[in-house]
Amino acid sequence: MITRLNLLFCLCTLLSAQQDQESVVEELGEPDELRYETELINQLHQIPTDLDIAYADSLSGAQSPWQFSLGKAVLRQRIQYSPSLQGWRMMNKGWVKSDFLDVTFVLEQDPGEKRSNDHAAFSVATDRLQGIDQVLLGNFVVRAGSGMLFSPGYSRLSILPGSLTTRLRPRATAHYSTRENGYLQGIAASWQRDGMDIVAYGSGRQLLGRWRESGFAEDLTGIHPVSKSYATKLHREFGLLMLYYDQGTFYYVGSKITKGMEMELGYQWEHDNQKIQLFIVLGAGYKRLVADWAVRMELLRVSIQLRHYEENDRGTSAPLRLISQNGSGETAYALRIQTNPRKFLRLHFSLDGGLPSYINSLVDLQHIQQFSLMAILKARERKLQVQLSSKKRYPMYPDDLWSGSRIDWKVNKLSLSYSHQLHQSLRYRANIKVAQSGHQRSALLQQRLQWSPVRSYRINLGYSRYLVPDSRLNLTTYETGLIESYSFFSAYGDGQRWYLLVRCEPFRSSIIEFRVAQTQKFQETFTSIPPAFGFQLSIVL
Amino acid sequence: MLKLIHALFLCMLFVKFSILPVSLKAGYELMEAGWPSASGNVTVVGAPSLTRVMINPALLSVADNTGIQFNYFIPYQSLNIHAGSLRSTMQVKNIPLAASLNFLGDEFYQELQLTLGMALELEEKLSAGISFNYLQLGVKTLTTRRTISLSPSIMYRVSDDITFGSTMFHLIQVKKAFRVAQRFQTGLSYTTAKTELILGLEKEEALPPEFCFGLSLDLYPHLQVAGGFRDKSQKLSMGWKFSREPFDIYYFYVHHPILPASHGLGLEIAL
Repeated sequence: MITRLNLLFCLCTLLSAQQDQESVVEELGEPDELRYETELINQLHQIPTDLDIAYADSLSGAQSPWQFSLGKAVLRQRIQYSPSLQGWRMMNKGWVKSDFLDVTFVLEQDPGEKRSNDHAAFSVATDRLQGIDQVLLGNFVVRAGSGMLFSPGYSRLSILPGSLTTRLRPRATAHYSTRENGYLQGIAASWQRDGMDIVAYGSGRQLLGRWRESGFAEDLTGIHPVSKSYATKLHREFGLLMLYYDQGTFYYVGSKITKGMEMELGYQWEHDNQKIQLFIVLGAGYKRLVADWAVRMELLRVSIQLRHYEENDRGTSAPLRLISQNGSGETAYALRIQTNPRKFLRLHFSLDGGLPSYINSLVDLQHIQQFSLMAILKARERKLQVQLSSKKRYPMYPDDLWSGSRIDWKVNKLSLSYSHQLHQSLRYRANIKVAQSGHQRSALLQQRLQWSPVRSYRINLGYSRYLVPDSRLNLTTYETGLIESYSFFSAYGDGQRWYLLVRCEPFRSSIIEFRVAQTQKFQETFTSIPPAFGFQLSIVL
Repeated sequence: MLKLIHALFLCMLFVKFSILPVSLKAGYELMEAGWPSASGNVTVVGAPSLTRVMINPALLSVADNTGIQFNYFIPYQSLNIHAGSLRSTMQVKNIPLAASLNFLGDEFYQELQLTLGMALELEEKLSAGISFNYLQLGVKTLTTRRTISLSPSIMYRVSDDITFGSTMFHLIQVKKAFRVAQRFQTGLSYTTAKTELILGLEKEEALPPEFCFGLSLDLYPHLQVAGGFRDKSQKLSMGWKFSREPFDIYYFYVHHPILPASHGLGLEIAL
């Protein structure tokens, strides 16, 4: 094993890579692509060790499309070939902001889908109507409170202290995303008066899915090939959200009516550098209680969260996931600490733990605890990040030990990231990630290089070599992607991967991007998976 | 130099995409035949001929003048199918409009399409277009089926010589008595004083995309020749156009690797 790892590192040092401020923004560029993140977390059962996102603000603070604006209109056309799905994905999206109207649209066709508008989202918003601050017509999302009742899954916990607290202010924003579930269709109106924010909406959207014994289940994959048939169901939803605030004290009430009525009550107290948030969600078949406390000092930021999720139906046990908004049947805590002891040094610490809210059998008697420690050292042209994380799931049962089926009972991960501005036009970044559980180990080395020969051209090259013997020890890494797309690679097996991204701005207001990526496996025989292509044209006015 | 790099970059893209595994798809473009058929039938972008503005009405914003066009087309000769069209562009209250009547069929089967397109200039370089299509399908002894569709499109002048165009044909279908295949088309054209190079990509429904390439050359002041290639259907096309104000007469030939060849003839009159 050691010889193989040595060989792996030697091979990897032949190539290079990097990361820049801009691509940090890209990683957060498409808020709704967070679903991939959530899936990733589900797979990993661990706080992701993506050092790349450490400097970014919390993902829960993902920007609205308007904040990406460089002008008054952006149009993007993306064409991608997916080797895993053996097909093409076409996407057209854009927004136009004028004095009277803000218009957004997204059209997407996944591989194997019949229609060019299999996913179509369109919205028109105006703030010119008398007596109403904003009216939005079309497809939209509503965000407010803790995020547990409205638009769940749009944010998640990260290593940053800010990710534990949420923005209470209710807002309806255009659904400017390729995410094909979790949004609304209809009309939303917002009012802001002295100390009061109100959002009201009505929605009726046809959901695509299948009928099962338990009822209708919406398809969450977003891929609807011609060969499969789907049922539709009209989902109606009406909501009213109100926030009253007075000198640092906020009272929030959010309610929505679907089949029955669901409600969220929130309270926030903010004074000087401290913030306390309390949420109670009374949903259809579940209850949620969340308490947050955050303090922000010059050199120190601390956040604590306690949460208790309870289901009315206790007959089935849900797996313990510790992913905040999407969790169920768990009682959990989270702690985040961030400190800047020196100008060049930043430290992060996170601790998460939880246990099931109720116990049906011995299997439910489990407790998960995970922590992560990260140090970021910044020099003028260099940056070093080190992260150590560990996750424990206990108690262990004798059967687990004999069958060896629970190798994930304790997983340790170590990540190192080094970036260097070698030259004005050349940046390099190397990521080393190692995971260990029992006698099993996995490792990944990624190098990235960014080269800008002239101002209007940029080339990103990345190479990863990895050895991941078990899927429970998989390692993920960020790759530079097309603008407003999310590129994460989850390594498994013994292999290597490279990608090349060429971005050029040959003319004012136009950005052309071409990306190619390929994975190759060394298991038994050397096999190359067909390359994935991506082409994007952006018009930014 | 930059333009050369850019052109090479685009050519590399085209070559890369062209060698991907592909399959045969339907020849939906029969009714829309016209002078662009000679250059790979890339209709979404390029010189704003009367054929192209029906597919991408946004091109109307850069069309120089109004005109009228007649086309006659024999697709896959010996199959006894005939196609024809009458197209026209006009200005109504400074809004450029395009209208067309297309026909395809034989004695048992007929397809009819009426199109009305218009353009809106959003920016100096950016135009949006929309076309309303009425389609009628008739089979002898069976009930005639009708439908209405709406197709949005855009045109963007990347630079003086490079233009980008895109359209979603039949994106919204109002009356679904029969469903028309949706078609996504996008392309770039590079124009010099005597040459026009066009790269296009077309995707119909769930079929894989087809990459198209077209080139037209002004050989003499009155004579233009064109050629093109479509990667998936492996169609080769070529043609000539003779221009003498206010008339344009053209002929085009399309070679299919399996089916019989197709011939088309057209007359365009500038008004």
